[in-house]
Amino acid sequence: MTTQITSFEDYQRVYQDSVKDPEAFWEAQAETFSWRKKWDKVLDWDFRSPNVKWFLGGKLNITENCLDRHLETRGDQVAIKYEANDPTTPVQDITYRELYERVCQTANALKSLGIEKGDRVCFYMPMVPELAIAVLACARIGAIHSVVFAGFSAKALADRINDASCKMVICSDFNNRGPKHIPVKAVVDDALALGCPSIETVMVHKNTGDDIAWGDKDVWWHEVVDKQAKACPAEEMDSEDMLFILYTSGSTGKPKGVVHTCGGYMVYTCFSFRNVFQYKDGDIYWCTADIGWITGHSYIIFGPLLAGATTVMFEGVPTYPDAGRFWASSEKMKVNQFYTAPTAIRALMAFGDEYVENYDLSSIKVLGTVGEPIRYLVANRNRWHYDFWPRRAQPHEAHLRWLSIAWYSTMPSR
Amino acid sequence: MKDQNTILLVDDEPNILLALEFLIKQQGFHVVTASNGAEGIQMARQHLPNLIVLDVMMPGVDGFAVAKTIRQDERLNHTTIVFLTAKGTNQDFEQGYASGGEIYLTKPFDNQELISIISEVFEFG
Repeated sequence: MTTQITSFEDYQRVYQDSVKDPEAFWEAQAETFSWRKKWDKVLDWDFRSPNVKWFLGGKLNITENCLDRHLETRGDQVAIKYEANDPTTPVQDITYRELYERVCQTANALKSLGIEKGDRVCFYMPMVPELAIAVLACARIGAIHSVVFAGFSAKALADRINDASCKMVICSDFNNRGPKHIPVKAVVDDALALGCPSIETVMVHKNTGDDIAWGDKDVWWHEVVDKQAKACPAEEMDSEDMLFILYTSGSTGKPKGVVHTCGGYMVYTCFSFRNVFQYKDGDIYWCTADIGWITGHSYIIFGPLLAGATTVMFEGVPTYPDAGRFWASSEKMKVNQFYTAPTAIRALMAFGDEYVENYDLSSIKVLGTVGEPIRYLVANRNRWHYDFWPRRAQPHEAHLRWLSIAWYSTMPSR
Repeated sequence: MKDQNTILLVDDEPNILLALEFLIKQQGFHVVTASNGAEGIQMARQHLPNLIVLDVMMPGVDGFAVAKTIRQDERLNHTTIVFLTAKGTNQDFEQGYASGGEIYLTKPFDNQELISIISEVFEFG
């Protein structure tokens, strides 16, 4: 495993190592992963081009690091805890072994549908385990995933499908999001009607079982996945082969596809996850983001699974069935690291303190935030962030405070 | 279609409304618009938006009154309200929060700032 910083002195030492000789530092971190072939050169960069390449010549498959290498030591440990939109639905626990088998089955299904290394697969799915499973299945066979937030419009989806020339869309029939019942597949149909000539197949996961329109490109997830073998050889990828495309929400022009490659992304997300959140074996970690954004890719799927962690996936919204949902679910799952955004906290703050006070949050050791700085709040409201909630969560831990995540600009990408 | 992820924009200034609509649609969101407070309330009830970007100073029903009315409708309890206004004193902020809004942005605002906030609302629920 990558270095784990355990104290401030430790942090200062590791930081000095990283700035004195960055290549040696990141090479040492990379050594802790499974590679098919080690790299010839650690780093080649030119910010003016711009052109940044990590672990040149290295061969690997990221899913062997997320799954295979954990099977012997933590095969029966829970990898994904799934909390559905309806709070009365029991939490679904998926172990590393089960996740491995389901990823392999899905990877075999994708191959049976003609998906090959280098093909693009678009996702338009709610926060269900099958989203993470299919993302990993793409990575298993070298297909490039492009996850589009399942709240974007049909036109936005069509634009992103066409920009990446995707061969397949994977979606759900419907999505439960708070009190809303959203027709996901219908939006995909609308997008294809706008013209997406590269799409050959639409694979539909039955999430709610509602009736949907059916076309000649459509296949049911369960009909193609369930019959597949539970092992699938991992495709050998170059360190700089594409892992995924994620469209940014820039303020000008058409959406821009940001590409992340395999090697550097793997090393950085695992290292940052373990150290920022101080994750320890046995902890339950919950990031409340949607996988349609970079936070969800890196800190719900790849970072935690690379580190052999237990990561929570949540289908719903923080105000359903009431504004205590985050805390009710945290108490129920005994969450140790809780990672959200100021926007969510601010929305909950407006509902009042009583929604926090009703729950035992003593399991929470680390609170993380990402995105905009914690601001826009008049002085007395700041106390909600800095004093109220941390005291509620862990009254005896004076050091417990929000960790603000602000280092995406340094994430290896090209 | 009510059950769709939607953003409602309410502003009495047509140029601002048009610019906001263009900006937010460009990010990929489904957008509906209203050009005054009364229409804003009616559109909110019709579309049950996830988020409302709401101008404060409008003739007739102002933004604070729109927010108060919306908050009385339990179907709109989960809707996030972002106020856009030239009024930026602490007293204005407090009035905005008291009327049921969660986010308060003062004009002139930065487009990227608004987009970041909207994206976060959808990303984190």
